[in-house]
Amino acid sequence: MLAAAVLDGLLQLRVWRTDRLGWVMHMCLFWGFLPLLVFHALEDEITRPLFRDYASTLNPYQFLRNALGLLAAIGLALAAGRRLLAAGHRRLSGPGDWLPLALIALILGSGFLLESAKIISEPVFDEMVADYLGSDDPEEVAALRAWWQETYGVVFETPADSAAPGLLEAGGVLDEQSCTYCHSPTTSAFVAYPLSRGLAPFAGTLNRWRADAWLNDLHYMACFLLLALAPFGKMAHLVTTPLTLFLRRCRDLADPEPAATANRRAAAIEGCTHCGVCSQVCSVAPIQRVLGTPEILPSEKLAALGALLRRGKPGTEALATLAEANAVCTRCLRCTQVCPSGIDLQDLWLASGGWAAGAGMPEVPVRAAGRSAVQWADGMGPAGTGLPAGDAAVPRYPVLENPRVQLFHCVQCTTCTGVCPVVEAHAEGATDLDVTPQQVMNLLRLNLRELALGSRMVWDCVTCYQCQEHCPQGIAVADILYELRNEAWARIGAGAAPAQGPAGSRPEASAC
Amino acid sequence: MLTFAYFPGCKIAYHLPAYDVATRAVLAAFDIALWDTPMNCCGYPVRHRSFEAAVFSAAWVMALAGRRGLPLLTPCMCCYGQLKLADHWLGKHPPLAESVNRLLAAEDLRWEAGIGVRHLLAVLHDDIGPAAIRSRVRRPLKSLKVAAHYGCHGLRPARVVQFDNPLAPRRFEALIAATGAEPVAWSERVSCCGNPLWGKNDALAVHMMRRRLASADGAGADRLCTGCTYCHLQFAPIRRMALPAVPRPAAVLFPHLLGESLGLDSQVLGIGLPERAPASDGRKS
Repeated sequence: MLAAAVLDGLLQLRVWRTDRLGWVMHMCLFWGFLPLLVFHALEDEITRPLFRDYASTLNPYQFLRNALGLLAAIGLALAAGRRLLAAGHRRLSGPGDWLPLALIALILGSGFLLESAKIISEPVFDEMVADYLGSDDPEEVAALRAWWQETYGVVFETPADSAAPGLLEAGGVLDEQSCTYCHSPTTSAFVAYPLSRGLAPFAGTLNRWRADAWLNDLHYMACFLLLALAPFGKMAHLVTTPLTLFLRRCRDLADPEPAATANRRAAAIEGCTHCGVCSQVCSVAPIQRVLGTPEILPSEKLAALGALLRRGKPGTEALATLAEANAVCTRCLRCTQVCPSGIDLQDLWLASGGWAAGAGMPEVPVRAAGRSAVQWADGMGPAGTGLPAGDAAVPRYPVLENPRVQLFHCVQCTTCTGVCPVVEAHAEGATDLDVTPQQVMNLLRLNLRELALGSRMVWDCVTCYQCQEHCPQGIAVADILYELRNEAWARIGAGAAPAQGPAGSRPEASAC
Repeated sequence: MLTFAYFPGCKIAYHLPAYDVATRAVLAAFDIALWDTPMNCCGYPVRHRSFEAAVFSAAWVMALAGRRGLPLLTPCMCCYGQLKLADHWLGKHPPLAESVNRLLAAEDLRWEAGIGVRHLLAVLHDDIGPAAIRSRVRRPLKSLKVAAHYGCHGLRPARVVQFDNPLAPRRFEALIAATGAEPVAWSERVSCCGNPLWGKNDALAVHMMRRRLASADGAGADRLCTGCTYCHLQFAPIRRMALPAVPRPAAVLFPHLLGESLGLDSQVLGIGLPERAPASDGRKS
């Protein structure tokens, strides 16, 4: 367990294994931002009691603060750059990903600016003189001003005359006596000091407006905002991801208590950092590219699942989306193998199919099975709905739309029906078939496509291609049944809302 | 050395890991090399949903192999059938191929005709051959009666998949005979196992399976041998769940049969690895 905490928690080897650049990015952010949080943000609570001589302006603390801030900034730049430039990441990035990055950027930026604004600040210098010099002798103050102007970079409204003989030396002595025990040279703030040189030309305005005080408030507010938002967004992963990793290790030890399983799954859903690695290895990512439903990708499906479970009473549309996504997922295990947070995604996919079905939204073929053809005809969306945008140059139903396929070539010889194992099973009472393959072909010949679409045969076709292989007229019966199922699936998916109008109100439907 | 781009298919990793292990082991025994790269879904499972999505996914797989200049090898009949079907449609319909390649260009990939898609059984039969296999058999499976179950999507539509004679195939039996086992003649060897309906209409899927098992049992088979991930999932883990009272004939994957006759260790063949049934349709039967 301890080894896991070090390897998975502190060194994050799971990230290293799947995503090297991601690991560098995350280590910079983690090892930059976290020590800043502990030693800088909580200096009164942690750093001061630990180190007697601590002062934020003293080295090594001042230097380390800059070093850690720079490390975090590099991580931040890598994270933002990846989400902007790498196509796989860009596609998946949403406001939930950008907000934490923006807040961290604000915290780091305001922190560095605050330090440089203090370096150049005359009012801050005056306050320090009042607090620490222990003298208000104008000559001593003038000497110290000269020294701080030349060596520490303070910008005074009326510049100190550092060329005056002896003044600088006297300032140096005073600095040694009153300042250096708790203030290291500002140049060791190796990020903030160069930044302060950039601010120096505007020092007059900045000092008059007390930019240091404004930046101080901004820095604090940004930190509080991040803290306040932490439990609700992906920043919660600071707590939930280690918890997920921990519970995953426990799984092998503990009894499979239902409550424990539920807790582990709940933690797993919250442990996602939306890093997107799963979606990049997703086996059905190409299918998502065509169908368009973002929830087909594991990272998006997990977010949808989380939202669904948090809402308590899920809406029909959200459930239909989950059912659709689950129907496409092949449970290939790849997302689970690469997840840097150690989330057992496979377990969630296996379980969530049952949840959706239990809430009244099983996958489309099962939904289709519960109703008669007539009821389905009423529940379907209109023709052409529920389909991806597609390419106009490519026929959506290549057999049915092929002008050379002449269904009137079908001579109704019943060969397809004779070789169909589903018809055979129906004769043995295993299913409730309404029409047989040759009758479906006949409905199509009669241009009753809607009726053919709603037939049981479309859903019970086992796709064995016996009919097609045996057809003496060369009609692609199985391919046609596939195409009808494609269309029915799309239209049932689009008509997820309850059926309108009384069943049997359609003229064609009542004809059967 | 004969090398193929290996396409295990999605279902193997979690549901049937032994098939992957055994396939690698027997191919290695005959000095056939496999090139491994992460590959996406062949599109077979989504063909119910969308022809375009299924063809695009298959084209992606073929483009990955094509970029490497290697033919594909898959142990799954359904993956094989789907890849062949997509290859056929793409080859016959230039606008479809152009559309697919426009999308693939974003991944720096391109589908080209003629990369070659092969099923494990076809490679064993055509590239190695029953005679060469027989000469390597160390423990002939004498007196074992084996029913070959071909698998629909590898066999039909024959014009597209070109695996064997769809009405009277012989390759599978020839391979079984090479292991020393006795292939039995049975009437439902080219019939559907029922798996495509598992999770959609379980009762019907199980009914079909029961018929096949009874037919093979009636022909005196000790084993029901398949060369397809889905068929084996149907005849092994799903059957254990749905038909626990039908123990005969036991299902076996062809590379397990072959590996055993070659004298390969059961650990090398992955025997004993978990076999997991995919989700049921959730309906109470």
